[in-house]
Amino acid sequence: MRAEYINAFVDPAVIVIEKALKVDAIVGKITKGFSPSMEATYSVAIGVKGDLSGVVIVVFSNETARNVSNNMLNKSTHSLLSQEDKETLSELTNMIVGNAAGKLYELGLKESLTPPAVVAGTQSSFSTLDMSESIVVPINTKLGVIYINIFLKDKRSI
Amino acid sequence: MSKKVLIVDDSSFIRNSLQAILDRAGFEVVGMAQDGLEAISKCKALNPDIVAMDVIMPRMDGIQALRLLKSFNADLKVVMVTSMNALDKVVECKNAGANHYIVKPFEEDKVISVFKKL
Repeated sequence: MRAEYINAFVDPAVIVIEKALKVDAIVGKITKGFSPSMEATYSVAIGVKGDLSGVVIVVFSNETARNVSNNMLNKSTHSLLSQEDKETLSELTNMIVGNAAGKLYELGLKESLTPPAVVAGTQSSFSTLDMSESIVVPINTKLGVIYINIFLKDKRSI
Repeated sequence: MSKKVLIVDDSSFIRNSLQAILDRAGFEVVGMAQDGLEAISKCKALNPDIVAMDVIMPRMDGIQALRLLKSFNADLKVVMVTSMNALDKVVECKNAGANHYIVKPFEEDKVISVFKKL
């Protein structure tokens, strides 16, 4: 994928995370593949359809998911994630991908997005995806690392 | 008399955030809906002055709901509150009758400023 398309996700992600969570967000090393294997995760997937098509999956470890949700909901709990927590993680993902769609539009790409879907489990939940073509962008925060996995194909180059 | 607001968003986080902001600003939040279809029925039942409407939602998206609501009541004020900040979506919403467009994540001052203009 072209670097400018990846940057269309990176720049809005940093801005959204810093604004929504009120913490510093630092981009880690961007690599091919999927976020590192973790025992337990919450993943939020958003389908993308348009000039670029595929899916963007934002992955949180259980601990990061709890920290992010507590931060956004201004609470301090350690229990399993509630429906409200999951909707909060979904909304953060929605904001990241929605703002990225705006950047892509500035690059001449039109995109539509699906509502977010939350998956609890491991990355094997996404074993049907071709991970050799994916890009993972880690965003480091004091609440934990938020991994943005981008599986998009440029339909115009097919 | 305070203006009546219906909040439409599939995220409880956004519904609750907007409700808190609008409550503090003196608006009366008369109801909340989780998608466009529910928004149509709640609008008929609650007769709000303003609707805060998300764009990407299950069952019926915010732009479809906006078009229907405006066809029933052209005077209804609708503020789109969405993470989709692409210019084509903004124009599509404006053409469908939206009065304002707020991009998430939003700031309280911005929300209040927009709603007070209506």
